[in-house]
Amino acid sequence: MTVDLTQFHGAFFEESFEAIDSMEAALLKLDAGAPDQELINTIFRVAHSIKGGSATFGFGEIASFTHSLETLLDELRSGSMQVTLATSDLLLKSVDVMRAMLRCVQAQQPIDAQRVSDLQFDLELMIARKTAVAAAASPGAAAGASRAQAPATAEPRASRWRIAFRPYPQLFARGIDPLRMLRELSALGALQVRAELADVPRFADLDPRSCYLGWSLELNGSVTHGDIAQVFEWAEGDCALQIELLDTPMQEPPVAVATQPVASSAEPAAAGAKPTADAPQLGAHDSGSIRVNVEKIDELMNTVGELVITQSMLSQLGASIDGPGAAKLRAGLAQLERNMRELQESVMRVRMLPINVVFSRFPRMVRDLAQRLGKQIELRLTGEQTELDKTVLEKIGDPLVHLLRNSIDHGIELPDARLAAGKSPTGVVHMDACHRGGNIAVEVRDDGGGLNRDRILAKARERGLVGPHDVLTDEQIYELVFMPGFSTADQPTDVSGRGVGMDVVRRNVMELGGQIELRSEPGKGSKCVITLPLTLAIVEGQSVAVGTETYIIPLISMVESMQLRSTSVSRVAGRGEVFLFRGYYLPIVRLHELFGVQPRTRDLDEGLVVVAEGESHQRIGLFVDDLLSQQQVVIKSLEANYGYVEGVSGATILGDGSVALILDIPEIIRALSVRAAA
Amino acid sequence: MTFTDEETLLAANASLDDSKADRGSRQILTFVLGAETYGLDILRVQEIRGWSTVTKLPYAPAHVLGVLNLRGSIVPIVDLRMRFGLERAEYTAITVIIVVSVDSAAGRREFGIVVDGVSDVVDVNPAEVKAAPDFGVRVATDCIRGLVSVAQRMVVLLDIDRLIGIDGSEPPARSAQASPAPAAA
Amino acid sequence: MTGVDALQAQLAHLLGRRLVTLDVSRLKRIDTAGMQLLAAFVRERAMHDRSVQWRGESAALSMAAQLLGLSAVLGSSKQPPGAAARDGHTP
Repeated sequence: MTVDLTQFHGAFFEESFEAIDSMEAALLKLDAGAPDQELINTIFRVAHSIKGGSATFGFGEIASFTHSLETLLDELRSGSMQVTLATSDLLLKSVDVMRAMLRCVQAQQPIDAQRVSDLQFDLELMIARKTAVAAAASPGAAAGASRAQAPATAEPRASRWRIAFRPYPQLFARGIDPLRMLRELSALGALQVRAELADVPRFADLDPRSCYLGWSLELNGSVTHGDIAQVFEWAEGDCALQIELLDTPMQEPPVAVATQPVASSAEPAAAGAKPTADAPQLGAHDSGSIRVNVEKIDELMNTVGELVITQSMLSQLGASIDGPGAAKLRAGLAQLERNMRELQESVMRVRMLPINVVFSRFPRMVRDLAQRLGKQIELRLTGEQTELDKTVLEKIGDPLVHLLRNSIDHGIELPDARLAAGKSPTGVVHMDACHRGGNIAVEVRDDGGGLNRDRILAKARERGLVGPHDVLTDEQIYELVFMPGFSTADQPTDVSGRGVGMDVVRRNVMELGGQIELRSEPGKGSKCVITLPLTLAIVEGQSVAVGTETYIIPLISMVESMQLRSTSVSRVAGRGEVFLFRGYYLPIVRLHELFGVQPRTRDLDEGLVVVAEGESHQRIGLFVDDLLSQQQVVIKSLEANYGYVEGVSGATILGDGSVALILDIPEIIRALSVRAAA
Repeated sequence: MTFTDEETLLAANASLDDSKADRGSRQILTFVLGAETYGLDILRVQEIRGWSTVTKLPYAPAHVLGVLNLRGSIVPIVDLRMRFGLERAEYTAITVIIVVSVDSAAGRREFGIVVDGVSDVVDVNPAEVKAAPDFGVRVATDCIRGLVSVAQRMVVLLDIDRLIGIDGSEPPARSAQASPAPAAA
Repeated sequence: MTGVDALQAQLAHLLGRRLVTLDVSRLKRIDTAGMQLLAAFVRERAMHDRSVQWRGESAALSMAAQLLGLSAVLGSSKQPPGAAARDGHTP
């Protein structure tokens, strides 16, 4: 029976690339001094699988090369050869070559035969030179992390619990405060809280001594049922409580072979696991996960977005309907709204991936770069499991790469210089990701020399960006680093220093609706924090009215809103109207003038001023007629059918079906200063 | 016969069978602006709807009235009378918006054009289309594909891509701007 | 739960105002009953297409809002990250 194998090619390539990634990750974790047997087994399994698969598909060159690789790995696995820095390097080179070969074959292009045979020769040479080693590699869990490697990610087995806590109204009267319980729970592990407000009556009907709130919780941690039950002991009889165990948390995106040393592994150390079945399968996926085409998920997101808009339109209509059945209709619509919100959250979570997807390429990059520059660098990655939306994830990679390169190239000093400064010769670069509020914060920190204030100032003076006698605060000097074309490197290394970096990084971050902040201590190091919204498609905004038009101000740009008295407004020649806010004079931007619409009032006393903030803490006061509600809005593109409008970042569809424009505050501020400068 | 009802228009489309396409004739949607009749390739027409209030777009040329929500997309609405330099008309209950799909450098886009009213869908044989003279027609000549006579009426066939795409109906894309020097706090 | 009736009366008074700013800089302690009241208040305002502005920071309020899952309902009781540092623009 002849089977057309080409239909399996796609899967083979996809899985092979992933397998190679996991092999690379394992190699980077391998400490030459105390090699982890589990990691070696992993690497061996990958090579073996790829060999089998490529043989089946007739990719001879790959099969042959991988065979040599497998032989070397077998020696390492059995302990008859020792893992040294040289072997690690060779293996990493093999990873590169295998990737290149796979890419060529996938694109049906010829393989670089010379490169392959050169490396294959090196592999065979090493095998021939093997020295008999006394002891086998130590079994079991890995020894501590080593240079240029991410820390072991093994964690104690965590469980995931869902808890439904619904107090009865008399709970408060019994002297019980749910806040205390939630606080206790949050100390047991990672707690996600969702409050249920469905039973909270209208404000006028609310008895403040009764408890109407309920909570749906998710707790992640090494916790038992008993631990959780104990927290709620006091409330027994005064609440409805449900505690259920969910599955163990999902692993990272399915890889062909697990890369984490599992503490309770039963495999005998020496033998290692038998490789899995032959191609086309390269190894079982994690049970409980499936591959989904990205387009399907995008479609799903769009449809859900449309649903949200439709539901909100219905709710609006429902509010204005009277007559029999109206109350039931409204209750039904309220329920629909709750369902929609849950649906939206669920779908958004489908698109969330751990930032490790981006982090994982850094260890290799750091290792290569450090080697090239002759520096010693330790990369620490924490918070790799922090999840963010796929679209944000895709765009955050480049800015982070640039920051990392900056730290390594400009931040961390050469080992001698570090020793002279009383530091350890190995510099540390720490990359951390965590959720903060409704955002994700990614921090890149190094213990290098920090930003050289004087050098930056000198360079800026050289470029004419700053006058020879201007005095600048530290903050203003750091701001200079974000200027286009700026770099204090005397000679641009081919890595960075061509000076095209930080301004682009900031622009990328701002385009994602985020912010970037730079801090430094001379001699001690620098820290750069990027804050991004969790998802691109939705923004939290404050809607404002100007005449018959509605505009949305993203909450991330909003500082405060206030009523202004026209007596506290002054006119400054050439700068228009200004007012005093927290010690600074801010320009007033009349939205009706900016956009050419007819307002309800032009009188500053009658309208409201919204203080908004853009890049580098620049603030303005936006004059509007009225403040409407705050809401989450789905961002719709204006550029798809129309194009770019200055000061507008997109549009959204309101509950009544009409279109509202979303303001781009940094853009408005920028345009203002350009006009003022003119 | 005037079609102001979307359903009737679609039904009319359905009754014209494909065999006509073999003869190389094109189907044209005709519409009225002032005293003249114009025509558009029916294949470019997405839908026809009545007038509704539009959200204004800042810095847009006068003939771009604003944007509307059309089945979830943000679609710009262009007043053809203004575009052609005709006198303005009131928007009434029978004012109609034709939503068209336009080819531009950036790909397919949707636009709505405001017209006085929509007429029949007619078959036009390309051989009968005559070139437009340089004078006597109000519309800029590069937007015109030609003139054709239908039931003793002159119909001006429009090139919708050029009509919408040229001179400022499309604002420029976001251009890279240098950030200003740090302002004194 | 002490003082919760008084709080309700105060908030009821503010319901109709066009612009409401709650200054929480001196709020040192709050319990679930108080949070419930605040949440109901903000929600009631939202139903009338009005918002509630917050001024100042209260660690107790932010912590309680986070633990009780009420941050979203209360809106920007948290200012954008790093906002505290921006006040007065000190480096």
